[in-house]
Amino acid sequence: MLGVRVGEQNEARKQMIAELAEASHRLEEMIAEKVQALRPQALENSRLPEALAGEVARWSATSGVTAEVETTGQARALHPEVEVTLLRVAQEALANVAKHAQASRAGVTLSYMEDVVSLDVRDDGAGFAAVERNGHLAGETPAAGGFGLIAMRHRVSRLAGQLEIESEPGAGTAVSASLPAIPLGPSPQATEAEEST
Amino acid sequence: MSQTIRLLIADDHPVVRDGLRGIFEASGEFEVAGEAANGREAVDRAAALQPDVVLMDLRMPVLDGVSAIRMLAEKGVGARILVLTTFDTDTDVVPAIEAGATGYLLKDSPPDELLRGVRAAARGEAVLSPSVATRLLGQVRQPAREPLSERELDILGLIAQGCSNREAAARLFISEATVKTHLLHIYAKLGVNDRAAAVAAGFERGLLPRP
Repeated sequence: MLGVRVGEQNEARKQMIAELAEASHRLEEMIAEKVQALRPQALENSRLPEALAGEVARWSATSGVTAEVETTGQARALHPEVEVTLLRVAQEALANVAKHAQASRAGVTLSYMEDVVSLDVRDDGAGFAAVERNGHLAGETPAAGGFGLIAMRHRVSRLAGQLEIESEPGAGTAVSASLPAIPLGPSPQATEAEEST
Repeated sequence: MSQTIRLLIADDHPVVRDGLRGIFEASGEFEVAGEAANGREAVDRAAALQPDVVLMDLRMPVLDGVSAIRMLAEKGVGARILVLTTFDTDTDVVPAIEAGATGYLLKDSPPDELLRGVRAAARGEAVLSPSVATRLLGQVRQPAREPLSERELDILGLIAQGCSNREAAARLFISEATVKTHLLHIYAKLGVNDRAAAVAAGFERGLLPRP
């Protein structure tokens, strides 16, 4: 009698431990997902042009839209905040292309210049008319589904950059983010000054 | 009729808080919704009071300003955060911006500059005191006197063929904004002010094939 009860209790305990282990495993996975969402994994191991190429290839495979990535100018490691912001803008703009544009082609161009770095996402899709002269969208409110755009603009302007949206019905859409090309680490001027003395 | 901008003032010095309160309340367009004497209080009160803008000192007891800004961002508090600092050489300023601050103001700024800064922050604009902005941007190379990049030569070539910015953008499948940025760099490098002069200089220097 007693033996049976202990056996039952043991079973119940074992099951509880199994459930707890399962729950803690799920929690671990959820946390890992959240952490990954906070810092794009694509940037952990590769610099921006490579991270962007990977992102665009994945997007193209999922969306079925042909996409090209081009890097112009002298690619170099930039301040992580600059790189993360540009990658986020690319992700958001590409998500919009897949959702709304009915495009057959998308182009992602990363342009390294001396003082700024620009990221353009252009498509040949439906486009739209709601672009005001200052580059802000008429529908750029949370209610109109413009939340991603507002967040993008906020991130870009925090780094003293500019976000522009160009579109026309039937002529596709271009999203352009331009940020100061803040280098990773000490400024080149300082290094040159040290070297020349 | 503009809406009142609601403020939270976080600074460990009562005199500073009183001074700021006086400046903002006197203007009539701001309401000081609350004050905080350390970073922990700033986080709690910003979450409770939902101000439009938080004026945040960086050096505070219990929890410093940068950590408080990070916590506010993690909690998803929507207030814009404007860092108040004594020196624009403060090494914490850049980390504060990275943590989510909209901008920074120097404590000894004239009152009208403070008011202007908070208004701009409430609109979500980056507020960079000129000297701090220069410090950030000072790490950036200037385009002058360097040779034209390959992409700049592409664009100068398209302009020489008579393309408008829009046409050049369509050909390269990029934005007009980026074409304009490239053009400004081309002007700076060639020492010219418009596209006609840029094309002329391009031919003169042998950067473009003779027509």
